[in-house]
Amino acid sequence: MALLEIEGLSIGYGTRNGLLRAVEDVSFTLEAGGSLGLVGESGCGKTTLGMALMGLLPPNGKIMAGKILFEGQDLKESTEEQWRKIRWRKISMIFQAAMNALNPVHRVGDQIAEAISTHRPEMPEREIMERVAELYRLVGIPVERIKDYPHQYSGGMRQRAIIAMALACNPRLIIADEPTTALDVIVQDQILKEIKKLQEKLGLSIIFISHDISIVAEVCEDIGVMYAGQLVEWGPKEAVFENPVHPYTKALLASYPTLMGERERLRPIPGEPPNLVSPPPGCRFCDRCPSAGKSCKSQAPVWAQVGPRHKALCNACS
Amino acid sequence: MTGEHIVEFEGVTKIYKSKASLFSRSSEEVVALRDLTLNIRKGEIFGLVGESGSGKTTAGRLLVKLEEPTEGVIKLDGTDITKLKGGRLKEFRRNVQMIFQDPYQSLNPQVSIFEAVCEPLVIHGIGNSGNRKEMVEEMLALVGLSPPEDFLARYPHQLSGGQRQRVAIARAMILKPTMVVADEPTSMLDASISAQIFNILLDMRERFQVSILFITHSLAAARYLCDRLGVIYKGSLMELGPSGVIIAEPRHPYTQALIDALPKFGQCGSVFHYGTLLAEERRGIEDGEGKGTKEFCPFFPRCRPARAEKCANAMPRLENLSPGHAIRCFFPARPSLQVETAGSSKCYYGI
Repeated sequence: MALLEIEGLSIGYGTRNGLLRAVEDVSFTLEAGGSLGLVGESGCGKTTLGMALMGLLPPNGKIMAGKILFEGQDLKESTEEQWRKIRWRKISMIFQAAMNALNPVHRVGDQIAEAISTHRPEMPEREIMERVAELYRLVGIPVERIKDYPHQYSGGMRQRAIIAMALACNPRLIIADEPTTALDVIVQDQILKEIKKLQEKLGLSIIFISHDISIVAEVCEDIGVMYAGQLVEWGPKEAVFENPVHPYTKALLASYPTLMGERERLRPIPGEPPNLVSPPPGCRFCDRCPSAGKSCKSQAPVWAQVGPRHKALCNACS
Repeated sequence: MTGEHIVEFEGVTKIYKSKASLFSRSSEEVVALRDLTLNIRKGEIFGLVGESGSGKTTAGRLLVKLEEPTEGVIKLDGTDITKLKGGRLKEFRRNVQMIFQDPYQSLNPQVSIFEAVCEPLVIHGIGNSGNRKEMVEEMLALVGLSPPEDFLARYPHQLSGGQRQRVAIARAMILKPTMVVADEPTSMLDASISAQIFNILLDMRERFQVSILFITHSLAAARYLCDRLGVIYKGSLMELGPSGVIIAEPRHPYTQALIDALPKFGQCGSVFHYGTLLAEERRGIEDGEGKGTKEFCPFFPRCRPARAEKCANAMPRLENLSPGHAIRCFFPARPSLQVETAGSSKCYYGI
């Protein structure tokens, strides 16, 4: 049994202009110990998906259809009470710009201790403080810094503290949403290597969400490409990079430069993603697609199997 | 008074002082830029690459006169800009424009796109009510906001980040400046949108021969966009030269560390790893008894190939390794023996 199975998940937001179909019919599985990178432009639904996996959709967000099977149980039906038992203990999250989420007037160590005591109220204080020290050693922050305040930490250290907080209760799955935005190149590289090392060492499963495929490639084994709320390509990263099938994936990869060889003009994708309040009936990428077929505009695309674990949502790709 | 260079920084130093206050007993000094000397050629796209705290943004702000240098001289087309006043200052403003990092903050939300792009024309008395609309439309089309008529009446909140940044470029270019400072114009945009913005900047340079100072944290973006680049660390230039040369043959340990750290995908197995960054910083390098009396290479605490006898006791000077390629290092790397393997040109990098 896979650790996480998403089946036909659709999520919508109620807005003044109507229902915004932010995630449409997404299905994938994540095995225990696996690492998946969810990649796509802003507005593609990847963050919404991540929030849904933690039961953290805003009040106007609603799961319209589908299942979220975690350890065999459908989380979609969970009550707030049940979510509280899952959050942080089974699934935890590193949010976007999380390092700015540390409370500036409390010591960092205390904030991590609080994360532990909130979700494990039965744990004695001494044990909690020992766990905090263990976490600091795990993520590479000097233990003497436990009593410092967030402003005394560098950006990289704050991010490590956030990772420590996410690991505090030994979750099985971590959802990291753009965890390295706002970090310098060298610090980002160190944090990514740290995440990968921890993932391997602790046997964690990880879903890494980013608009930047190069970052995701550093950490994840599998890649899922999202566009306008849909999963459009999926597979092991080597397969997707070697043989990208969906025109959007191809276009996304062409947005990145090489360092060696001829300096060729990047070929970015013209246009903008569609309005998700009234998405087009057929393929949502049709308007921007260089290889659109005649029926793409009106007929919804179906999955095409490209390789043993590699698939693309496309009628015109074979 | 015209020569080969459009911009010259000569020994430019910028020190920020914070005054003593209720919360700190003494005033503090931050040396943002230390003795910066560099030239930008006419029609060139020059990249200034560095991490936060490097001083790269300060250099840009000094060039557009949002700040004044503490020491040193900045010249635009041979003229010292630090002394400009009145009419000549206004002329300067027409010639030097800036594109900011945050497209969500740089456009006035109460002003329509037409007004935002037209405003520079009005301020500088260019055109008249008869032809300004046409000039704005032409510029919007050039930055890819097509059809331009659709955008004139819109407001910033109705545009995406990428579209807003195009408007910012249109607004900067409508005066046909000779120099544009682009301060991390894509760090807040998705990678695929960034590529669009880079190509627009290349188009602008081709069309208008405008010179561009491109400030970035990404060596990969700088290599793509720039003719020459300078790597800056804690207020000092560490390496300077043609972008192709610096990327293929970086000689400064910090440049090499930046290249190592770039996220990448594709066939990257054969990419050379320089390994010049220490896992842990060397401790105990303080400023000596008095602040600023002890000179040392700012990269020393993190530099693997450094040797304390030289690097912790003196500041190396920026010197030419070969014509056009300068480096500030006591122990520059030997030219690497790496051969450009076929695979490494199929390795793609984050921007």
